[in-house]
Parts: sequence; structure tokens; C-alpha cells
Amino acid sequence: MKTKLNGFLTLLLALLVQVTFAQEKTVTGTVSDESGPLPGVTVLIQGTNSGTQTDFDGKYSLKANVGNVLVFSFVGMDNQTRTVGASNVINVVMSGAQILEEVVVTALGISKEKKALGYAVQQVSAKEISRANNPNLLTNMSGKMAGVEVRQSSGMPGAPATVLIRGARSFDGNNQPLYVVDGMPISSGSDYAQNVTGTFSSSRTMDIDPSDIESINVLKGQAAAALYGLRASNGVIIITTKSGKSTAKGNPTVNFTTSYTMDVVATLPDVQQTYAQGTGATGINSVAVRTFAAANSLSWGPKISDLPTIPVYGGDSQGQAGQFWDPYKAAWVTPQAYNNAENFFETGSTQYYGLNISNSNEFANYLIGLSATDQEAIMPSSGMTRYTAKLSSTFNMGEKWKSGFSANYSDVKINKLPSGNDSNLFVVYGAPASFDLMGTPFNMEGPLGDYRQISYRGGAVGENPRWAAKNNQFLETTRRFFGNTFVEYKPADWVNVRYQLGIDSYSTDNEDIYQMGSAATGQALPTAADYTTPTKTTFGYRAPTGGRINNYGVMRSNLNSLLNVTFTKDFSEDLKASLLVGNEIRDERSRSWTMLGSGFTIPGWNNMSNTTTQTADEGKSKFRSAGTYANLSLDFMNMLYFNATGRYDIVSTMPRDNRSFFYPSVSLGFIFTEVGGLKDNDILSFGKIRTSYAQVGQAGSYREPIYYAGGAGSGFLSDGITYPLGGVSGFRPNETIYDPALKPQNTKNFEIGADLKFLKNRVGLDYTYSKQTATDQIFSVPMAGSTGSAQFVTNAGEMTTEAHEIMAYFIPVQTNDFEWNINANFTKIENKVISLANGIESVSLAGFTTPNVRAYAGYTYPTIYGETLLRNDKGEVIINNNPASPGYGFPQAGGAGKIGDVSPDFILGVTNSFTYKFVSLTAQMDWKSGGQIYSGTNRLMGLYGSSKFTENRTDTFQYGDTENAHENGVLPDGTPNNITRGGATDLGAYQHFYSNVYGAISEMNIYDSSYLKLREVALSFTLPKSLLDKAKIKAASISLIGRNFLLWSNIPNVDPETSQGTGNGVGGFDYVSLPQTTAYGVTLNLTF
Amino acid sequence: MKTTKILLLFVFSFFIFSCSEDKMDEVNMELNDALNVSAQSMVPDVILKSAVETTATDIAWYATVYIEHSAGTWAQSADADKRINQASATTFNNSWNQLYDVMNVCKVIIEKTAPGGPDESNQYARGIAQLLTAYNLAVTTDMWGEVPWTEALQGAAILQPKYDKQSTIYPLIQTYLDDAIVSFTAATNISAVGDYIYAGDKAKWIKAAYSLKARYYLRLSNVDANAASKALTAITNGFGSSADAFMFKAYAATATGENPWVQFLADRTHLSVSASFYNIMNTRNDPRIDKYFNKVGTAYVPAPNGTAILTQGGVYSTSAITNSTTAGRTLPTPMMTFHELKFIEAEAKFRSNNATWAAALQAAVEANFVFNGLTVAQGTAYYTTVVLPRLTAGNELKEILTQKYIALYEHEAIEAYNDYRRVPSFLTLANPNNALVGFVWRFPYATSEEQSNSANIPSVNIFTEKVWWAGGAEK
Repeated sequence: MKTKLNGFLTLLLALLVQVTFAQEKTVTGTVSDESGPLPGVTVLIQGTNSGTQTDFDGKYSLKANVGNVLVFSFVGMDNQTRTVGASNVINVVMSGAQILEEVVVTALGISKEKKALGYAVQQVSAKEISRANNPNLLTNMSGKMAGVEVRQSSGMPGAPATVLIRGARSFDGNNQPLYVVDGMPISSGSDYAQNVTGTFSSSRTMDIDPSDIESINVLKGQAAAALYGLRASNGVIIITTKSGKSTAKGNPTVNFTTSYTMDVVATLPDVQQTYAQGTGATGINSVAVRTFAAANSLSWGPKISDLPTIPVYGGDSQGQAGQFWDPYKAAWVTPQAYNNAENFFETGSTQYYGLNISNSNEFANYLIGLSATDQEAIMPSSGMTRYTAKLSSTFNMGEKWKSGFSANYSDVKINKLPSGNDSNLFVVYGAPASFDLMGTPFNMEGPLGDYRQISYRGGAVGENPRWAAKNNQFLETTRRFFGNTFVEYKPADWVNVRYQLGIDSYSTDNEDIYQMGSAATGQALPTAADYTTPTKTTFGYRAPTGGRINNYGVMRSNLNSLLNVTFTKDFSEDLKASLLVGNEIRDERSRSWTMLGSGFTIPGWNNMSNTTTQTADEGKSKFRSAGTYANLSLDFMNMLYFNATGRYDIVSTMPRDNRSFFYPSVSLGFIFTEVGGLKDNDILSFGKIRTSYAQVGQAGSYREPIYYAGGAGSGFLSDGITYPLGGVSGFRPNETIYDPALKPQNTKNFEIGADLKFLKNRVGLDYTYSKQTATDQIFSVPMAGSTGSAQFVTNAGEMTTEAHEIMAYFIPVQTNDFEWNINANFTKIENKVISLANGIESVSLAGFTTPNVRAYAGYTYPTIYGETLLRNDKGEVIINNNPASPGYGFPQAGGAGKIGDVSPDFILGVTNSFTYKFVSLTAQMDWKSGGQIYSGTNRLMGLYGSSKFTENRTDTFQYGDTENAHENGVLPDGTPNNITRGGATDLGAYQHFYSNVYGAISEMNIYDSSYLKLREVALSFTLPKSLLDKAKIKAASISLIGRNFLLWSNIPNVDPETSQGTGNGVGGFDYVSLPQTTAYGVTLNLTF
Repeated sequence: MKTTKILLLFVFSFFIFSCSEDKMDEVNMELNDALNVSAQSMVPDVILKSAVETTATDIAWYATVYIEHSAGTWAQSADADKRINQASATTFNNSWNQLYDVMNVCKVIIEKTAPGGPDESNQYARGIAQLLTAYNLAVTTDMWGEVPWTEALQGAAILQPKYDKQSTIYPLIQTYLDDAIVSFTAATNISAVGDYIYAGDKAKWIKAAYSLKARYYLRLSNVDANAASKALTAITNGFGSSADAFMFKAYAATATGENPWVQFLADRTHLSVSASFYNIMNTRNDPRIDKYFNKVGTAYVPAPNGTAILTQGGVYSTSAITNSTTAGRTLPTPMMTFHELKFIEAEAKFRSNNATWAAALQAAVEANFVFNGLTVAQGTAYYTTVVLPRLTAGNELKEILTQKYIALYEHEAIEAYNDYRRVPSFLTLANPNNALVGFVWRFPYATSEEQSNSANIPSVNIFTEKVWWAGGAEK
């Protein structure tokens, strides 16, 4: 404050002097930019030191002579000049070259001018993040950044996603970026991995309200992130939340946002509406009548229209002409087709309320934020509520001291649904058209009727989804506090000391309840004999059994201590330097627990004390790391920028004497448009080339040899046998062995790029090429079973990534009233597995024993693995030509192998925005080209005969005619397949194909996952100030939004962004996974 | 500046105290699992795994379909019936890994109880581990033929173990059993805790070892001229009665403690009663039919082998042995029954021209009737009216093995599978896919081996090439 005061005194003195010597008048005015009055703009009389600054309302006043030229300057904007004339009022609108002087937050919270960087970063603004009311931060980032791929799992509340910055670096380890919120690294992963069973575990980024974000900066390359050391290898997402810093002085500013969004299922499966439940023989030339079969999962039965004629259940022969006895409704009904999938999904909704109060003055600023999100999913009994509260403040304590804090609390409750093997959608997507899912009671009447389900099929996956919605529950509750406090001391102009201490502490409590009578916990569902017939009109009695309650959770706390000392020195006009040295200590503790009780005695009482057996387990972990680092930046003539960093880390989770590592990085940026002849060029307004090199690593988790309680099971069983059994537990050595010479894996990154701006910044293009090489991967090398161990955690293998990223913008039209902006993000990444361990060709990452998602040497990462189609040397599919075989005329299994590639060829996100006066329209389109997915949903809908593509089942056909054919194939002698199957004399052919060929050979279930999506659309109206002033409202806007509408893709029945939950398999593996949603909504934003 | 210095001093001292190697060792200390356990604490797990994973799950569930005790009418079991995916490395990957896993745990027990080892005094645990090594190794080589053994179970020291011939493994099985008998004989500090089979009765373990020796001797009837006589010698020290049978008895009527066959039925419902097996029993008016099978409505509806329609229950008859009553849920897993030993005795005696073979056969049949909840008298009557008339000259061995085949339903399918492969002539299987695709003569090698030890895997055709003791050529 003292400096400012001195400035004022000087100014005053100067003015006084001028009063004495010149003809002066007082010029006043308001300086503003597109968003309103602009405080802190420097107003100088050209050629003098006289001047002033605008106040918090953007107003200024100074004495000047007619003919003086006033220069208005503000960081990040073009200077404006005005000549003082007759008028005493000069109003100025600042605009322009924001990009040129853009200041971005880099590693460890260091702010730098973007032009000074030797590596690529990208900033996403609050406007872009909160544009479409998406409450999920991860899926929100889709398509908004070049080099960043978001692999979504579903559109369910809290659904996790995999975020890959420039591909992956670790085969089976962590490939997720580090998230830093207001300078404090926070936990962001899912605490529990989901593979092909159970519910997902939400990512801890769910605790952040996207509307609270001021900006996101992505540090993509290792050079950008190197100061974060061991955690930097996957890139860093730096989140700056809203604060009171830029709030106008005076009364507190109150900002209120509310939105309401309707969610509907994005892609409904296309189901056949002709055939009833049942089956028939599938042998060669089988003409067996397709029989109706109750309690059967197949839809290969008779035509629905023929149901009145069938034995037992048909009404024609039982005095109920045209009627059919529905064994589940226990009534005569007129047979009809039901679209069960369409009927099952509901309209979900999301309500959002956010309130911010902020204020600032010379000494302090603060922001208080509250938000509430209430989401109801498109499937029954699923949803999310999120409450967040925050308080952040900074204090200027005299000239040398500054401090501040930020405190955030969140409470997130998610009601989830299981997917994969435990998905309730088995019975929705597979429901026969003859079964009335929504119109049939889902449980029986009579004794314990509530716990005696009616489902059309048996098996553990046969649970009636409506019964499940009422009786089963999967609840995840997280309460979290994170925040930090800092103190900054600036003893002299050239040195700054900052110490920050942060904590991040949360507990997640999960409760999975399967009600007594649940098929998933061993209840045998009713068989055909238990359902009714015209002559036996009551249901058979099966005593309810089973039930399970699983209470599990985790408490985690992180402490982060950060000390940075920065020295700056300008050696001359042309050489400026800054040096940062610092130290970071992380300490993490966690404790997790599981209490599993099974077998309820009293139905409906869902408490651990009601279970007959209980097992409990706990896990504890500790982690500590310490890093010391330095960063040297040199600036030559505002043209050449050099940056070097080094970091030395010590980490607890590595073996003794192998715990410390050093990682360097260097980068160089050269603004060639500063060179004489190229300067001030209107065609090429700005040009920079940049290059960098860095090394960073990833630590492993070393464990000593241990013993733990074993058990016995089988892949076919939900439970198996667990200890204690007969009052004792049995122990066994670890099946994972650890290499005592484990060292960190190393990623080297080379990057080169250019930032170009043309036509006075109307067109901009940033291009970056980077190459990463990750060597000495730490991974669980799978071992041959005969070694006695399952995996060996050691260093082996290599993976490379070549990435091309383009960020481009173009402003085709820019007038006072109308502006058209195009923004594009292009990403092309080739992420290749060069080698795995010696003798190892591939390792499984997610999925079943087969098919699954793998890292496969020589191919892009990851690939899909499973049963292949038998092919000849030319790669043609060989068709079975044995006329005695039921598989005659169809492809055959060719052994296990690679069947697909998950990685896309490229991703392009294009945002168009049109602004006309107070109306703006923004539309974001995402195009993903290439990449494949294994679709278990399609496999099952084919096998069951419920998909539309199985409908045309009585005609003759060749394999190549089926919708899911992979070419028509050739006979073993190489001639084209000419075998015709099906028709009246071969009725079993279609079912055999879908059940035993399409349903058995995984390669047949591989689909292209390319898509073109209209990801986000927003139509916003900013209400004019004239209107608002009367209502004492500072600003108001209303927007109509939509998400995920319009989809073009090549995969039937599911959205290509539907996949199993967490980890490195996301995006490549759908198995009755939960669906995506389309949203329509409205947002109101008011500032008082 | 003073404040800065104090701050720096504070931070750097914190740094030094918090990050030394010793401190980091302390931070990384194992918090969740035991760093050491006794051999005794590992005994329950080797027994449980041998019973459940080796005997009562996947291998048996596939064998029961191949041998037509059951017909597979849903999912993987229907695939087995149709011979789809049977040659796939993934089909038996879990079973293969589990077998070596339990043998590895046995190995650790044997090391801990070796002379000079920390649990040297626990010869009882040593005997159990040796016996179960023999048991699991036999299942491994019986199913796959050539398998790694001499270089197996070395962890990271030998990442790619070579494969040994079955002819060299079989003598080792007998050696392990002999070693087990020595250990049991010497055992003094016997703990019944976790002995889910004999609750601390070493005499019964010794009988089990001899009975298994008989089983593995007779297995070599095609390749060892003395197989029958060696088996008969071992039998003299084998089970004396059904009370001695080698069975896992610790199942509990809870979701996570019940017999795996019951779990398989409830979770999957893959199996139905096989028509060919039902017909064999039906032509013999076998009273065990009511004990073995459930009716659909009022009649038995067995599933046609290889051509059944896909169903998860309701269409075809299912097993009555595997049922969700408390008795069914806690039904013991037979690892070797008394009736099996008597059938082995009957066959060995018949092969040795010992006239008392028929008495052994009758005892076997009677024991099996009792085992299935019928009476000795019913067994005697059945033997007299049904079995005896079929023991015509030249048909004896066929009927002995047919009776054994009936008796081994349904939880002893693995031994039935072995018998058929050893003496295929005793049984005419009905599955048309045997002609179309082939009978599964051996199991395909596992994914984990293909993935990490591919160079050593012998190339075999599971549909045409038999294992050594079944008459195949060794690789």
C-alpha cells in the first residue's frame, strides 16, 4: 500500500506542478471491457510520467492539456490511445490481444506469461466448463482440450471416466493426471477399481463443483509438469477456483446460479418386436417347432401373434380364442409386443443451486460459496446429491507480508447401480417382447411375497430390475475437507518466500445391500414349474433366501507442505532471470475396511446384525515423499525464453536404498516475430517456436513377502468359500512377488511446437508434436501358472507415444454487434507398446479371462483380446463347410488373439459460437474417428434373440447377409462363401448363428467406436444493463442448454461411450454397462 | 529475515527427520498382512483349495459334461456339450493356475517342516502337504499330460519351467505318497484345527495315502503290466470302511460356505441330466434314479447330449444330489470314496484273475447305495438282479466300470472321466459332437502358460491326442 500511496503523492505533486505551468482541464471517463468496468487500468499522458489508475468502478479522472495523448494500458490487453480534445469525458473500451499477454498458471502455481513458455499448456475458462450444466468435471472436459482424451463410462450420476493426456505411459498402473486445486494436489482417483462386476466407484473429482471453477490449465507434457516430480508423468490438471480477488470494492457481490436439466437415455437398444420368449433346436436342418418356454432367457420362441395357438399356454384350444395365458401375470391376455427397454427408462433430472458472496478491498478479499446439486438418474433408485461449501480469502498484511487460505467442504451421496455381470439391464435389454416388464408385478403375493420375485428368467443375472430397484441399494457417501493456507514474505524486491500447508481429508462410506430373495445372492429364481399355467393358477412357493450387506469404506488424509523461494533479477533490459528453489513433503495415510454380512434371517431388515455370517477386513497404508527442486528462467530481450528445472525425490514405497531419484527438464521458446524484419507484421501477428525435453518417473509400490488368508472359488461362482470356515482361517503366501531391485519407471519426453497468430490475431494456431518414451515400466508381469506365482512386480518393457496436437481458433466475423468464433482442438496420438517383459506378448488389464483389454507388444495401447475368427493366410474368414455341422456356413473360432484396438485415430472437438448483442449460441461438436470396443451388450442381445438384428430369422441367408458379419468369408479352398442357411427347412440356423457363433467368438462382438456427437449446445441471453439497473441487478443471463444430442455411430444398441467403469480398460469394454444420457436444461445466472 | 531463517530451519529439519531411509522403512512397514505364519496355519488352505478348486469346481463341471453324467444346457456348459471353445487356452486357465498355486502352498509347508526348518516338529502338516501335492499333481498330469514339475514352483528364479513327461511324473506321485506315510507315521504334535478331512486322525490319513496309491497304480493299467498287483498291495492298507473315506466335510449352509456344486446351480444353472446316462440307469431299473435326479412335473426329462435346447432350468431334469436343502449345501466333497476303492479292488482283482473280484464289486455297489441314502439290502438286491446277470464272460470289465461310472455320479466326475479315457470301450457315449468335433481327450494348456511360457508348451490336439497312460505318445 505504501508504494501506491507514494505513487499518488508523486502524481499529486506532478499535477500541482502542471497546474502552475499549463492550460489544464480535468478529463474523466470510464474504462471498460466486454464484461464491464475495468479497475486498475493505467492512464498515462504520453511522453510523461503523469497518470492515474481507474478505480474499482473503472472510473478515472486526471488533469491534461488539450492535445495531450492519453495511453490506456492494462495487462493482457492492447493499449488504447486517445487525444484530449474539446470533450471533458473520454470513455474507453479495452479489448484485444488477451492471448498475446495471456498469463497462465504453471507448475507449483507459478504464473507465467504464456508467450514465455517453451512447452504447450492450454487453459479452459469458467464459461466453457459451466456452459452445459454438466455436474461431472471429468466428462465436462471431453473435447475441450487438444491432447486430452476423456474415455467415458456412462452418463449415470457420479460415473467415472479415464482422462488420458497424450496417451498412457504405464501398462497396468496409473495413467491419470495429477489434479491440483488452488495450488494443493488433491486425491482424484477412484478408491475401488471396477472391472466386470459391481458398481463403479466415483472419482474423487466428483467433490468439485464445476461451477466453482474459474479456470483449468492443463500441463500436458512432462517438461511442463516436471516440477511436480514423481507425480508429473501423466500431466497435471491445474484448477483455479473462484475467489474474491477480482470482485469490485464496495458492497459484497452476490452471484446466484440455478439450473434445471432433464436427462433421458441417449441410446435405446433397438429390439425385435415379433418373437416371443422360448427356444428351439439349433442343429443342422432343424425344423423343430419354436416352443414357448417360461422362465427362459431366450427370445427364440414362436411369433407373438401365434401365442394363442401354442400348447399349454395358448387360448385357442382352451375356450379363450385369441388369448394367451401369461404365466407371470397369471391371467389370460391378448398377446402383444412390449418395448421393455423403452418403457423401463425414466426421465431424470438435475437441479443446481449455487450462491457466491464475494468482496474485496485494499487489505483483503474473500469469497463464500455454497452449492447444491440434486440429480435423479434415468434408471429408478439412482441419483446423486452434492453439497459444497467454501471460504477463501487473502490478506495483504503490510508491504512485505501476505497470507490467505482456502477451505472447501463437500458432501456427495451417490445411489449407484451395478453393471457388467451384476447389471440390472441384463433383464431389460434381454427381456422377451412377449413379457410385459412394466405391467407385470415384480413380486408374488402371499407369505413373504415381497421377497419372492417374478422375473421372466433364472440365474444370478435374472433379477427383475424393478424388484432390484425397490430392494437392492448401492450407496456411496463421501464427506471431504480440503484446503490450504499460505503465507508469503517479500523481504526485498528480488526475493519472495512462500510457504503453503494443505490438507485433503475424506471418508467414503459404501453400503451395498442385496435384499433377501435377491438372485444375485443365491436365491434360485422361480422355474417354469413355479410359474402359472391355465390349469395351475397359483405360483409355486420358493422360500426367500440369501441377501447380503457389504459395508466398506476408506478414510484418507493427505498433508502437503510446500516451500518456495523465488529470486528475480533483471541483469539488464535484455536479460531477466528468475530462480526458484523449493521443497515439498507429502504425507498420506489411509485406512479402509470391509464388513460383509450374508444371509438375512428377517426379510426387510437390512442391517449387519440380521446376517448369519459376517466377515471383516481392513487395510492400512502410509506414504511419504519429499522433493527438493529448482527452476531457473531466463528471458533474453522478450524474445528468447529459457527454462530449466531439476527435482530430487525420495519416496517411501520403494525398496530400501532405491528410493531417491532426480529428474531434469529444459525448455526454450523463441518469439521470432520479435526479430527486426518480422516485427509488427499484420499477416503474421505473432509467431513462436518452442521445444523442450524432460524426464520424469513414476514410483512403484514395493511390498515384502507376506502371507494372507486364502480361500477357494471359481470364475463361475459369485461367492466361493471364504474364511473363517469351521472357526479357522487358512493362510497362504502372496501370489504376487516383488523385485527387491525395483526402480522407478522413467518417461522421457521431447516436444516441439509453434504458436502462430495471423491477421491481427483473428486466426490462431498452436501446433505441438511430442514424443514420449516410457522405459523400465513397473508392472505386474504375468507369470506362467507353473511357476507357482501369479505375477512378478518388476521393471520391464517400453511404451512410446507420438502426439500431434492442434489448438486453433478463427474469428470469421467480428463487428460491434456480432461475433462468430470457431475453436478447434485436434488430437492424434499413437500410443504404442514396444515391448513387455521377456517372453511376454501381452498382459490383461481389464475384462474377463476372455475377452479382455490388454497391453499387447507391437500394437497400440490398449488392445482388445479374445477368441478370434479363423482366417486363412490372406486374412480371410474361413467358413465352416461341413454340412453335418450346425455351424455349416458360419465362421469358426480361430483361437485367442488380438481382436481390436481401443485407441482412436484422432479426436476433433470444434466449438462454434455466435454472439449477437445480448444473445449467444455455442455448439460443441466432438468427432472421434477410429478405435474399437468390445460390446458384450450386443453379444447378449444377439444370443438372447432380443435385438432387432435377430428379427429377420425365418428367411434363408448367407453369413455375409447378417448385420454383424465381418465380410462374407471364404470356403476352406479359398472360393467365396456361397453357403445358404435358414428358411423353413433349417429353422435353427439363425439361432445357432447368434447363440453359438456370434455369441461365442468375441471378435464378432468388436465394433468401430467412432462417433460424431453434438456434445454441448447453449443458447444464452445476457439481459441488457438498462433493464437490470432498475431491478438493482448488476448482471443477469439465462441459457438454454443441451448435451449429447445427435449421435452418429456405427455400433448398434449402445452409445459408443458406454463402458465398464474405471482404469485402463475404460472405453474398450462394454458388458451390459450403464447407458449415456442426453440432457436438456435451462440456467439462470444473477449477480447482485 | 529472522523469521525466514526460523521457517527454513523448521522446514529443513522436518525434512531431514522425515525422510531418512530408516524413517522411510518405518513408513513403508507392512501393516496389513502377516510377514510370517506357521505351517499349521497354512494347512486349512491347502485342504480347502484341493477339495474345492481341484475337485469340486471347473474341472469336474467340464468332466461331467464330457463323460455325459450331465448335459450342458446353458452358456459354458452348453459350449462344452457342443465342443465350442474347448480347445481355448482360457477355458481351463483358472484350474491350471489354481492347481500350481495349491501345490506351491504345499511346497512352502514342506519347506517349513523340513529338517532344520522352523516347523520341523509338525510332521502332521508335512504329511498333509505331501499327500496333497501327490493328489494335485496327479490331477494336473491326468488332465493335461505333459506338465512342468521338476522346474516348476521356483517363482522368479525359473520364469519358464520346462515340461516333464507324464511317465516321469507318475513315479513322483507315488514317492510323495510314500513320503506322506512316513511323515504321518512320525507325527506326534497333531492338531485337529483346520484338518477339514480327518480332524486330526493320522491313521485315516495313512489309509487315504494308501488308497490314493492304489488309484494311481491302477491308472497305469495300459502302460504298466504290474499296475493291478501294485494296486492290490496298496489296497490292503487302504480304507476299511466308508467312515475312512477321503472327503472334505467342512461346508456350512451359508452363502460363502456352501458346497460349490450348490453355488454353481444357484448362480448359473448350466447343467441338466444327461439322456445317455439316464438311459443306462433306466435300462437297469436303477433305484438310485430317484436319489440322483429331479423330475420335471411328473416325469424325468433328461437332456439329449449335444443337441439340447438352451435353458437355465425348467425344461430338463436336474441333479437331485445338488440341491439347496441344508443337507445339499453341506454335502461333503468326495476326494476319494470307499466305494471307489472297492471298484478299484474289483477291477484290479479281475485283471489279476483273482476270483474274489465279484465280492469286491458287490461291496462297492452296496457301499454306493448306502452313500446315496439307500440300504445295503437294496444294494444287494440290485447287485443280484441287475449286475450279476450282466457279468457274462467278456463283459465283466465293462460292467465293473459301468457300475463305477454310475456310482461316481455326480461329484466324482473327474474319476469317471479318467476311467473312460483309460478304458474307452466300457462306455458308448451319445454326443454326436464326438464324431463331428471330437472327444476332449485332454485339456488345453492354460493362457498363463501361453502368455509367459509359450516356448516350452508341447503342441497337442486335445480332440485326437491322448495322454500317456491313456495310450498316447509323449512329447
